[in-house]
Order: sequence, then structure tokens, then C-alpha cells
Amino acid sequence: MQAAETEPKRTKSYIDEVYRLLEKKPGVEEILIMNRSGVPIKTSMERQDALQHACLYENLREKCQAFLSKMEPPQLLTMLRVRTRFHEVLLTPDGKITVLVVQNPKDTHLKVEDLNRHSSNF
Amino acid sequence: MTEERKVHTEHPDAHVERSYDGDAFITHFAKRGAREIIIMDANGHTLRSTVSPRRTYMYVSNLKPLVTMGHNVVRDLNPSNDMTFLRLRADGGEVNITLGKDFILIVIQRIKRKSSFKSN
Repeated sequence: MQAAETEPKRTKSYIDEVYRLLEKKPGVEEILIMNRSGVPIKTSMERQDALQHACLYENLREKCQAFLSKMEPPQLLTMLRVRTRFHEVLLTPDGKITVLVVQNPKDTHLKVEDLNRHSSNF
Repeated sequence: MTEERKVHTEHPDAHVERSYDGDAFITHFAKRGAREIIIMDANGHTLRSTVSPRRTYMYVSNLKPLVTMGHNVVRDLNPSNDMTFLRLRADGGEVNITLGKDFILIVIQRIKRKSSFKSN
């Protein structure tokens, strides 16, 4: 269940550094860093939004990890990307923390009319 | 499990006819190293698949709930938002799921490491 090797220590300064570097990247809208239990530690969002994002995506990430563990051979999730109409959410488990980034990628080959016509059947 | 392996051990030159042989879409992906492609309609019924029915069933039964859940997550945060892609990346492989208007496309790729060998 746990990784065989000891997970690297993620100190407060590491988290600050990660946050700072992410902020600089173009297109990044929001950043959320959670600890192992899914509690937001550092975020650029409102408290309410942060909790909601953290809870929902942590849930999804657990399901994905469960799926990968069932595969042959069982693998660890390194990255989860959810692309939606308006933005893209990247979730990266990283030792004792999880980094979640909401960004706005530039989809040059998709026209806006095509996106608007997309209606879900679920 | 061994039974399944026996069925799939073929001589590479064996001329086995598959339903997706002439399909340009699938061969395009296969050139890029994707081994397993599953095409489903919006309800989750499998239309085309390059893996055996048993494995397809295994993949679909695990991935379809994931897709639905992801979509619900996105909808919860913003009711006007829709999920279009879902991408799971692991160390040895990647699963890409595309949600179109009328279909769901699942592509499973293996990433070969120099030291590891994947036998199919």
C-alpha cells in the first residue's frame, strides 16, 4: 500500500517554493496544495471553494488510484488531468502532499462553436 | 488466467482477421504506440475494441464509473461545465478518456522503460 521507499520530506519552504513557481506559469488560474488527508494547506482560492475542490477531487483521485491498483501490474498514479470546457484541472500526488492546479490551457484547434454545441448525455 | 494467455499467444505472422483491421482511426493510434483502444457510445455500450471482450469488460466496468464520477465532480463545482477529457498517468502507462457528444473513447498506452519489458 505505502511506497516501499521513504517518501521525501515536504517542508513548508518546499511548499512555498512550489506555490511560487506555479504562480509564475502562464495560464494558471488557481493553485491548491493539500496534505495527505486532503486538507488544503496553501491555496489561492476562497476557503469555501478550496474545501469543495479538495474534497471532490480527492475523492476522484482515490477512485483513479483504485483503478490503477487493479491493473496488471498495479501502478501508482502520478498525475490526473481533468479537462473541462472552461479550464483544466491537474492533480499531482507528490509524497505527503497533493498539488492541484486549475489552469486555462489554450485549445487552438477547438473552435468555440464546437464547444458550445457539446452537450452531455450523462 | 493461463487459459486466456494460451488463446492470445499467436505467431506474429498469423493472419488473424479483426473487426478493426481497416479502421484508419485505430491504426493511426496504433502507430503511436497505443495498444488498447475502446470506443463506446454515450450509454457505455462498447462499439469497437482492440482488446479481448473479457478485458474490455474489465476495463469498462472499472472506468465507466470513474467517468461518471469525474463528470459529476465537474458539474458540482460549476453546473454549466462539462468534462471533455480525463487523463490518468501512472509510471508505466497512461489512460486517456475522451468524452464526446455521442461517444466515449478510451485509449490505454504503455510506456516502455529501457529496463522493463512488457509481454503481450
